Amino acid sequence: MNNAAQGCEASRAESDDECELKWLHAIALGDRTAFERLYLRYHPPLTRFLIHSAGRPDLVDDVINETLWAVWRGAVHFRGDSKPRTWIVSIAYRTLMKHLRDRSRGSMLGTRDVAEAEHPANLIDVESGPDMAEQREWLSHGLSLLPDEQRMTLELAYLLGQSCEEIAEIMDCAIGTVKARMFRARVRLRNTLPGLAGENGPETEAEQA
Amino acid sequence: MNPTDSIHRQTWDLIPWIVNHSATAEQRERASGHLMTCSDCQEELALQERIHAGMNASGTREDTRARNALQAMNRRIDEAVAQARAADVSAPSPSTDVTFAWAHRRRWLAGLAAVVVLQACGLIALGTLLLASRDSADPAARYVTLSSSTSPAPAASIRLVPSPALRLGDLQSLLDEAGLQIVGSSPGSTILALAPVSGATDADAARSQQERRRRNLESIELLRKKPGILLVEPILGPAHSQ
Repeated sequence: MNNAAQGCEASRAESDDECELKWLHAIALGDRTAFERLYLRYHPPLTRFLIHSAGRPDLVDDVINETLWAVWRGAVHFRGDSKPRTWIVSIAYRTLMKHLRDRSRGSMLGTRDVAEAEHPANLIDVESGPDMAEQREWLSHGLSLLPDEQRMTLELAYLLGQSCEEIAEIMDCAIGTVKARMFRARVRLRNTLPGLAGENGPETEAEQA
Repeated sequence: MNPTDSIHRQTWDLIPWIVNHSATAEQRERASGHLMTCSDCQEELALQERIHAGMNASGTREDTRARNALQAMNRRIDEAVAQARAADVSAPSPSTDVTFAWAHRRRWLAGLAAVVVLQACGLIALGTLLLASRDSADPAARYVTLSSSTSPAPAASIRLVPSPALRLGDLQSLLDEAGLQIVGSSPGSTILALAPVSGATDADAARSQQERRRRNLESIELLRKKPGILLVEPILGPAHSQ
């Protein structure tokens, strides 16, 4: 096993960013082990991020593979101007946008006629009791009702751990725009997630905020 | 908006970034004081944490999918490595762009070198052809000027010194009469070397050495009788000296 990959496994104190930076440096030298670790770390969250936007499992796989292929080939060009995660997520976002432009929105988003076995939501399996399964249903439904920009903002923050500034960089917009999208996404989500929102109405909270 | 409302709004806006751990320590500290006392923000924080947890809930199938996808990716990388090696790229890490860039650069340089070699070969071949054509016995292949003779000059057989007063036209008339031509001269053109004209030479080709010598003497005698000629004498070559 490569030293970079092994070191990140052994050192608990090392942050994810430092670990991934070491992996990228190792990948730049052609280290397949480091790449495999990075791949396995990013495939699940990228899958969850892409589910609603890509609409189809095969397209999710395409975007992920294109993204991580670009990481494999472009690791040598990574200069550390941003966190490794932000760099990788930016590649994924641009790859997704390219796919969305290449195909008609109708066939990409909000696909309703796919078979149940092929439904994107089934890409995620939650090994929990009925409560978690219900939350998953509500979340999937609520997220699918959000406008693309609001849903992606929320997903970049919650699925991929990006900060407000990093999301602005990834989506190529102002920080204020990110804050506004996040605000509206939270309000809309509360409207569609009564099981999660509890008794208090979201409008009241939004008005107070 | 009073200060309390301002703090409430700031805290409410910070909640997603607190939930995903991207808020700074200063932001967390600022929000924590308000969260202690504001039930609305506490409720919102709890809701966003549940959403965050729900979105990130995962299972074993994800891992299986990721590993299957990784196998496909590894095959893709292996194919790229094989292609790079097939292209005679000897870089140690065929996976990176550096390698691909070097492979591309090496192929480009190899192509450039091939063009240079091809050009050199063409120049050599062209030079060889030029030299061969220059050395060719075919006079038609040579570069001919109007002043140059189309046939090799015959060997001079008479030496003539004309008078400086003799005009060029008169000299030419004398030579025509004697069947001679100028085939050489001294640097100052004071001494001319003469030979029978080509037609006469061809006609005499079958004649004997003695016949040619007789005609040469007749030409000398003719010229010696003409005014404007200071000296006329035979040139004795190896054949004449025998």
